[in-house]
Amino acid sequence: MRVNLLGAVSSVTEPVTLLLLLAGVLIGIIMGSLPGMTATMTVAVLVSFTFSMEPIPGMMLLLGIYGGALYAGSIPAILIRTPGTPSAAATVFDGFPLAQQGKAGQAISIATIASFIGGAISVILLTFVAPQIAAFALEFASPEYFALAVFGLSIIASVSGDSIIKGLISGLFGMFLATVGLDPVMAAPRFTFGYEFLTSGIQFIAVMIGLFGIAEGLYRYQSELTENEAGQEVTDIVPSRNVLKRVLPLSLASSVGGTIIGAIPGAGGDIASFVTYNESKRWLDDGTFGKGDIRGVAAAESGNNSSTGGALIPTLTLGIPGDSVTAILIGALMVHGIRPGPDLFQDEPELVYSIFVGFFLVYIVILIVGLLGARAWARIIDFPPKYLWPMIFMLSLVGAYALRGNPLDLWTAIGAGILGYVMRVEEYPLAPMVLGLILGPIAEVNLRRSLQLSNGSLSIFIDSPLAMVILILSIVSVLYPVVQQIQNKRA
Amino acid sequence: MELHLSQVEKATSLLFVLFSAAVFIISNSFPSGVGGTPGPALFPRFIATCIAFFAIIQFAYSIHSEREGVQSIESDHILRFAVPVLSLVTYALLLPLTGFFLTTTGFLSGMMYYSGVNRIRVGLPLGIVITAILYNVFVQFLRVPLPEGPFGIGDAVSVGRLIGQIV
Repeated sequence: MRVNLLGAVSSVTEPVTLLLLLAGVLIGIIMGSLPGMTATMTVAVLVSFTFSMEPIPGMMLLLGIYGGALYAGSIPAILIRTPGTPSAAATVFDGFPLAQQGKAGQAISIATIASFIGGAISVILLTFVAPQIAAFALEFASPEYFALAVFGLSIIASVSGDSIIKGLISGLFGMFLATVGLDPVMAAPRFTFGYEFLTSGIQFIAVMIGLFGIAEGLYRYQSELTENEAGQEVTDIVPSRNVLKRVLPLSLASSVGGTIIGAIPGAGGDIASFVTYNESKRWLDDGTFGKGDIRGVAAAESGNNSSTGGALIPTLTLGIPGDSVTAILIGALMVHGIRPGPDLFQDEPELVYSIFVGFFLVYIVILIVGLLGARAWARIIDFPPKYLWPMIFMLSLVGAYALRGNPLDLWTAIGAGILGYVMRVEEYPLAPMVLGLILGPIAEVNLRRSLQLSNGSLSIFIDSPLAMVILILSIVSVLYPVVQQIQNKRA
Repeated sequence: MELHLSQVEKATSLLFVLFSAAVFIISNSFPSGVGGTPGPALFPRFIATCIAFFAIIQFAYSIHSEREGVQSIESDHILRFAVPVLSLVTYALLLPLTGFFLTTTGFLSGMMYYSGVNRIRVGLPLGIVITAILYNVFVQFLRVPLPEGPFGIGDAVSVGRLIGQIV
């Protein structure tokens, strides 16, 4: 590991790679500071810039955007009570009251420090845990992989928000879209209707650009482009030693909790930050939480940012995305012919360890740039959306075209954009669809391989104790939220 | 003017059931598996069955739901959806014909005007500058070929070419 880490340090510290990492963080902070610009949308819209780059510099740019945007979502959450990203929603509870008390600078500085702690701890845990999981997963055969894909899909129920049924339909529809093209076992065309361009399947990245870039734009235009104004002054950015003492242990605990939650496929920063905030409130609240307690900001931001390293654990070791952003990262790697999974640690150790080192550097840059530029980032909130959204549309369209230089990918992105908009209006969550798109093919290939090995007998899944345990867990994770929802309704 | 959409959730659920039926019909033409193993139709059919099952539950749920009823959409809302969609579609249609530079400048300036940048003196130059930057980033820096179109304007704004000429 030491040799790999040293090699990765030299790869990541190459001037161009470092510059891209810094650019990624700056872009991420700028976009994340704008209300409504999620990390997923920013990565989806800008992923096309990495297609012609080598995998390591490309990943540094995307990781910079990922970390930067998640962190910066806290700035509008604190200043105007509107989270820049959904992950910063829990930061509003105490961040905005602090700003009202004239402590916006303190809230932003603690959010920055807590984000750094969360991100750094999660990357350290990722560095030590991921290789162990990957080594264990090397023993997996088709039945275990099928069970894992089913488990990933079963998480859909818990990330579906208010309507589990709609989430399940959304996930299944994503799985269906992934079946378009050549059948992975017999190479027979499916749902291509004689069109040759459909034989290579629906371009995942183009769909993501449509779902998260174009659909969001359409939604914004529908609900009118409203301008924001950050009226709060950002002063006293350097926190006192007493404040740091109060938040440090809580930040560390929230970081570990956030990493674990982030590692659950589908559970992103929003869930992590709410859980860590609620747990902190449960254990530490003396009546000040929700009224401007700096510990609330620290708990939410550490939880939120630590989910990033956690999300990379299943992504890199099993090829199962931890959240929507890591799903796009998988897509970006696949453009380079690299498929995440346990083999990645053997085939591409330089890339894997560069991701670890690079992501740690991302959080160091966030700490420095976040504290030094706090006043400037606060001003970004005022940027008029009438200039912004046309550019988002533009970048989405050019990004889809740049994928293969094929106008058909433009149509895929526009179609996915309209579909995403309709789904959003009808309250069908989009995250399950992304999981379905990624995990559907893994589930199908491994199911059919397993059945080929067992001559069509399902007993192959019972014969593997691990596959059996994972499948039982999958059933539980689908049924538990359903039962819970029914109980809540009865109560 | 208002457009009334009644029973939207029920209609959506029924659409999903019809979609599932279509998957079954289309997958009839797929080849069967070899040696008793499942063929290419198995997985899509499994997905379609699940979609139909959940859509029926959703249909039943919407009958009892308090939120179900008539949704009215104002014509203003339809316009705010239709204009961006038509702009996107027009862009995709024109890009291979008129090239990246003209199409993108037109799209950006038009969308900015629609978004509230009412002065053409601001919107048009901004559209040209952003397009030139994008063109140079993609074509010169990232080596992504973008359609030139009939007039070769992209080449005229290429920073690489301009520097070459100066040197």
